[in-house]
Amino acid sequence: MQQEDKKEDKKYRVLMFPSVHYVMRAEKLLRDVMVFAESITAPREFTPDCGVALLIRKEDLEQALSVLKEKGLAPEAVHPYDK
Amino acid sequence: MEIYLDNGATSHKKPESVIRAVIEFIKEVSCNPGRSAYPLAIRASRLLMDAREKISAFFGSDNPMRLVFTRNATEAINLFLRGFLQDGDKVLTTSLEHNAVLRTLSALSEERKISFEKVWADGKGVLDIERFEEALKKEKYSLVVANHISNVVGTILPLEEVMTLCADKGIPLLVDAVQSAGTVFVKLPSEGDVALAFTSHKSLLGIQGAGGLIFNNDSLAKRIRPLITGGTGSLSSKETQPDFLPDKLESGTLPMPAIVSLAAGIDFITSTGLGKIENHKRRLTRLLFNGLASIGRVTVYGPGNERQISVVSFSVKGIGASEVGDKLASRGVYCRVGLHCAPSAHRTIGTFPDGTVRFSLGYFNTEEEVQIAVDEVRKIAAGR
Repeated sequence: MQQEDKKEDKKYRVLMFPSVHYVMRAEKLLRDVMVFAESITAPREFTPDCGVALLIRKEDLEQALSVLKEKGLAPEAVHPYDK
Repeated sequence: MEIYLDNGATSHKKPESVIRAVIEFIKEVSCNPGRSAYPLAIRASRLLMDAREKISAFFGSDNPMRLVFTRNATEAINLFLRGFLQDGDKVLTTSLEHNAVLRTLSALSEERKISFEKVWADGKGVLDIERFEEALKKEKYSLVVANHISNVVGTILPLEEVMTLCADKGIPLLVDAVQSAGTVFVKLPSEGDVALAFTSHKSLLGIQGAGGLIFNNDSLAKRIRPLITGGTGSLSSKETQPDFLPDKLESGTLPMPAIVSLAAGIDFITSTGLGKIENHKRRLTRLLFNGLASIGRVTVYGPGNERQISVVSFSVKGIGASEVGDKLASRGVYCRVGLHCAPSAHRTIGTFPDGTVRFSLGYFNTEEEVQIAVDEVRKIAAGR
C-alpha cells in the first residue's frame, strides 16, 4: 500500500524505448495528438544504458499507450517519475 | 559559360532551400543525434527522425524504422548484398548494373561461393519483362538485383512488372534506385520482399555524404546482417550489436549535414512536383537525343523514346571519347567520358572498351543549355 501511494504521488511517467529513434517517433506521434511529451535523459535508476526516454504526464498514460500501440511503438517499460 | 551535364555523377545546382538547410544545421545544431539529451542533441535527433519519416513517405512507406542510412549508395548496396547473401546463393541481375553491384557480387562469388547470372538488355539498353521471365524459369534464384535507370544509357526498367514477377515467385528484390529516385516515381510495393538503395546527392538534390536502404517489410529488413558494427547510442551497456532496426544496421556517427540536405531536397521535389520534374527531364532528353542524332558523325545510344530519360551517351566517329570530353570542357560543357563504372552496360550497347561521352541532365538544365551542348558537339564532329 505504501509503495502504491508513492507511485500515485509521482506526477509523471517515463516511457522507455529501445533507442532514441523510437523516442523521437513516439514524441512526434504524441505531440501530433496534443499529448504532452518531452525527451529527457534516460534516468540511470531505470537503465544502465545511455540515451533518451520520453516523459509524459501521469494522467495522459492511457491515451499515450493507446496511440503508441496503434503504431507498433509500445514502450518497453513505464516508470513513475518526478522531475 | 558553364553548362553542367554530369548530373548522373552528382547534381551540381542544388535548391537554395537545400543549401540553407545544410548551413543552418552546421551553424545552429552541429551535434550528434541519439547520444545525449541536451537541447541541441534533441534537436538533432528530431531532425534525423523528420528526415527518416520524410524519405520513407517519399518511397511509399509509413514505417520510418525500415529506413537505414548509409554514407552513399555503394555502401547501401554492399550492406544489402553482404548482409543478405549466404554461401551457395544464386543471384539474377542485369547487364546494365553499376560496378557497385557487379564488383560486390564478384567479390562475394569468391568469398562465399555465391553465383550470379545476368539478364542481358538489347543493344539499345532496353530490358523487357519477358527476358526476366525466361531467366527466372531456368534457375531457382535467392535474389534479384536490378538497376531501375541505367547510368550509361538512361533506359528505364519496367520496375513494377519486375516487382510483381519477383513477388509471384517469392524472390527478394534489391532495386538500385540511384539514378531514378527524384526523376521518376519509385514506390515500394506492398507485396513481396523489396529493398531500394538510394543516394542523397544525385536527383534527390542533397549533398554528397548520405545514402540508404529502405525495406517494404520487417521480415526482409531483419534478415540483413550488419556490415559495420559499433556504437549506436542504444544498449550502451552491452558489447553486442542491437538486433532491432534501424540501430542494428546504423553504427557510428551519421552524416547529418547530408541527411538534412536530403530531407530538404525531397521537400523541394515534393513542392515542385515529381511529375513536373519528370516531364522537364523527358523534354530535355528528347531534345538532346534528337539533336545529337541529327549530327552525321555522331552515334547516339539508347532507344530515344519514353524508355530513356536523363542520360544520353554518344560517340563521335574518329575522335576518342576523352578527346571529345576535353574539347567540350574547354568550351564550358561539362560531362563524363569513359566506362562510367559500368563496363557491363557498355558491353551491352557495344561501346566496350572505348566507352562513350555521357550527357546526364538535371532538373536545373534548360533547353538553351541542351541546344548549346548539341551545337558544340556538332562543331567538334566537324573538326572545329
